[in-house]
Amino acid sequence: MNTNKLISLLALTILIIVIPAYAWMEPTRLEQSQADLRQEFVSDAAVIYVENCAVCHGAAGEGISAMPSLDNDGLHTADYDTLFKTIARGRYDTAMAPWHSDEGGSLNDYQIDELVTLIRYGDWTQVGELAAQRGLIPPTLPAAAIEPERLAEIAALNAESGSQWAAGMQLYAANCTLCHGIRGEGSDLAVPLNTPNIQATDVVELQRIINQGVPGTLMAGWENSLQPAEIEALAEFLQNWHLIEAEGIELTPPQPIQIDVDNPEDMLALGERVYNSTCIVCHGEEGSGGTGPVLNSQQILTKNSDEQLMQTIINGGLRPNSSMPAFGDRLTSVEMEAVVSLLRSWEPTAPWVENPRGTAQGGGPPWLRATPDANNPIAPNTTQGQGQGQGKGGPPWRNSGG
Amino acid sequence: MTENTSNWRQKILYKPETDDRSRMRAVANNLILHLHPTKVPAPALRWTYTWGLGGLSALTATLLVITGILLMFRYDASIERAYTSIQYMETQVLFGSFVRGLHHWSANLLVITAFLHMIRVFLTGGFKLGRGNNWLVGLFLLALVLAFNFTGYLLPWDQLAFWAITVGTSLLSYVPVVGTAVSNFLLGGPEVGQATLRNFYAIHVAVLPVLLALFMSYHFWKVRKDGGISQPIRDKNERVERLTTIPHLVQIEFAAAAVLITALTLWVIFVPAPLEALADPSHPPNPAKAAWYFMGLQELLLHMHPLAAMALPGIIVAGFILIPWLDKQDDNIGLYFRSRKGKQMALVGAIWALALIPVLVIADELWLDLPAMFPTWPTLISTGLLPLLLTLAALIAIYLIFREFGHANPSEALVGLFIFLIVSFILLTIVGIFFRGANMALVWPV
Ligand code: HEC
Ligand code: HEC
Ligand code: HEC
Ligand code: HEM
Repeated sequence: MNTNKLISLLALTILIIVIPAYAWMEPTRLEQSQADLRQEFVSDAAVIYVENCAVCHGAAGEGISAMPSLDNDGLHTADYDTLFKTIARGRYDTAMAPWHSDEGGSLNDYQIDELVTLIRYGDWTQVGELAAQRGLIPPTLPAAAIEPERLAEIAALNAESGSQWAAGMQLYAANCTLCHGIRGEGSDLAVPLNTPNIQATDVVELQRIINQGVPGTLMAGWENSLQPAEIEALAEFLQNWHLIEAEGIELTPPQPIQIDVDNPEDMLALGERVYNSTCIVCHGEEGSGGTGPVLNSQQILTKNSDEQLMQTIINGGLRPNSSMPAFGDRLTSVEMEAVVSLLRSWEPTAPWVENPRGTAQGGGPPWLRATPDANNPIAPNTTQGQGQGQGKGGPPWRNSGG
Repeated sequence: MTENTSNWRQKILYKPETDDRSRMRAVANNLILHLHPTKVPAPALRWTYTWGLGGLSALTATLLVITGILLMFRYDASIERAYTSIQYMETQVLFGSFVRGLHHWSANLLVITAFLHMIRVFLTGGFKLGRGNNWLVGLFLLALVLAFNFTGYLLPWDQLAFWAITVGTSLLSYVPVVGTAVSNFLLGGPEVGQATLRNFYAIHVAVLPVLLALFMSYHFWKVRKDGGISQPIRDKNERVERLTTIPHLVQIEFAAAAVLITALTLWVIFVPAPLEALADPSHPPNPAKAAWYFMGLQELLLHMHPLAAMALPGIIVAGFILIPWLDKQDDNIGLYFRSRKGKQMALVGAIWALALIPVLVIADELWLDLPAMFPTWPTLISTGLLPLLLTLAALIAIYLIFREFGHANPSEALVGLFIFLIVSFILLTIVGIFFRGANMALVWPV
């Protein structure tokens, strides 16, 4: 046989083996490519979602106050066309605007297809994660806020129900500002509430409206999401808003900040935000400890690498039944990294030991517990003496005097 | 019945005959012999003479037609549906990805084989002794191949497609007087949009195939009409062995075809045709690059005023068209590089290009700033006319150096210049494809 024939034969043999093999694999390949494409749709949609829908439906589709959650079983199994139509045409007379370019929106068929895919197949923690990683929106959507000192001021306004007003204002900040505005001035979604008209309305009537909502409008009933006491507080607050306003007390509007995830300072600020909202209850201010251990100490910080800290935050406490919760699917990786960077930023100044041994005795040696007296530094008046160090202020038998 | 069958066999298939005479008769009206003469000189069969490049181009073109027709059944040339129809093919249609991959990679391969074929024809003087016409037809075929690729590039309507065509057609607008009009005509408006997609689709599946079929037929016919492919002129009394086309030539062709198809199949299976994200006119990728075979031109554009960057290739293409009239020395036909001297000139040309082009590219990126050197001149002169004239002067100088100091005859000097140009072009293309990053800045490929 000459070379040409040999080469032809060889090539044809390979072909005869390879093509049936490929054909045999083809169904698998088709399935795989469909799965890949779905994944691609979901990732693309996540971007569209974060840019367009997250303001109302939440960073991870969890819904914000009266805006519906998109992450629920009803929608996972919803009919494709219905979802497409809902997004394309919006819901008449609600805040849900039409999104299709044919209807005056900004999205095309393809993008709406992608969104539908996201709603039906989507892994929403992944959406929140993606949103955070792109720094497109703050990982935790901020609500309007009010400082604690101001709340105390409100409470001081009225001896009887001042604290109710304060609570109501806080509830209002968390639930109602999106539609009714920071100052109750209303928005294109809802009517103003800080009006003489409302203030003149009977408290019971106000409670009824808030409880049951206004049928056929965006005003949902809050019966199920708020406690009766909270509704009462809200009504009280609405009735007396003008008095609070007269004191110059206002809500601070939320500051949707764009985070630059590559900027260490932004990350530190974010870390502080996350720490103060999530960790502080257990680990204390600046990591000074509480129910949870002190974090601001070399013992913890030098012992643990960033990865180890990260692991603890993701998986929770090491000990069984530890009260340190696992934050892995509650925080995005960006937020967790930010917290770690915050903890790490304490390291250079952190004390060596969590609790200096001397502080465990209940406020120093007994003879040093008296409050220093400026007139008589060495021998203060011991009858006034109260331990002022850490701990409970001295042994109980010394405390009884007041 | 039996009679019928043997008749049919005789006409279409090859039935082995034992002696030369009956072989020739048996195949006299055989399909294959519509394309080939019955006998060919043995040296013309040498693999290393043609490298089978013309034949492989023809095979690739045939594959493209077949796979192209299959693709047409599922493709939808509307900007809303084009991209999804490709996704549909990739995910729903049995062998859809395979057919698309074959078409995609064959198209890229054809650019390469046709280009190499042109180089081979030039180097063996295949345009000599009455073959000048076919050289022109060949150049036109190359242009057709590029036009096919260019129009086809847009059809998937992904980011790559959209921006490559946008970048490509934006060059047109630099052509004085008619540029914008031609561009608007092709695009069906000022921008790449629905009208463009439909225009390109029509050109891709109707206009170009007809032209290609016509000119390829003429090309093949002319090769035979010119007495087969070029061969060295031999003494009258030197006897060259002549072999029958069947089986000798056919065997070679079959082997080449089998290898090509097998290699292509394997490639397609392991490297499916790419598909980027849906075209998004508001988000240009950075860098926005033209199709790879135009990267040489886009690279040139970085160094010269657009008008000069269009004029230079224009002048060079004109030179290529004129080659049969520039090199009129016919006695060196059929010899690679014409002669020993020609080979030396080619080597020198290649080395000069290899040394000069990278240096110039880097120098222009880092130090050369022509507008700053001649601040009072309009940029059309400082970055346009000046580099253009310098380049042309350099080309002429290279030719003259070959002639004077290399003692080459015009034919040999032309080989050196040709190789210099080809190597330069390939280098610019490589730089454009691999060494240009964001904002088309020079980068090291990762
Ligand atoms: C301005 C706020 C707002 C924005 C922005 C918004 N939506 Fe909505 N959306 C709503 C409201 C309010 C409803 C509930 C409408 C109703 O009462 O039926 C809703 C309902 C929906 C529903 C139906 C939910 C159900 O349970 O039936 C879908 C699906 C939906 N939105 C998707 C989207 C998508 C996708 C986007 C982004 C392109 C988006 N929305 C942007 C406010 C918004
Ligand atoms: C999704 C947007 C939305 C949210 C969130 C919302 N409301 Fe409303 N609310 C409305 C709309 C729209 C109306 C007007 C209904 C109508 O047309 O009568 C309304 C009406 C009211 C009214 C009656 C006003 C009147 O003049 O009759 C009260 C009281 C009220 N809302 C209280 C609240 C409180 C308290 C909250 C927070 C717990 C809240 N709303 C949250 C949309 C909203
Ligand atoms: C519900 C209370 C609680 C909250 C909230 C909490 N932690 Fe903890 N944390 C603990 C407890 C208790 C431990 C002790 C470790 C154990 O149980 O294994 C701990 C341990 C840790 C440790 C490991 C310390 C060591 O000894 O290595 C780190 C790091 C940590 N927490 C970080 C955080 C961060 C960051 C947050 C906020 C995202 C947070 N924790 C929120 C209770 C809490
Ligand atoms: C679609 C693209 C093309 C196809 C299918 C094609 C096909 C062929 C074939 C089959 C041959 C026979 C010899 C061989 O196989 O090398 C040939 C010869 C030739 N081709 Fe092409 N060709 C193409 C493009 C070109 C180009 C771009 C040129 C040059 C500009 C060219 C110029 C010639 C010439 C001059 C010959 C005769 C060569 C000789 O006699 O040695 N062709 N072509």
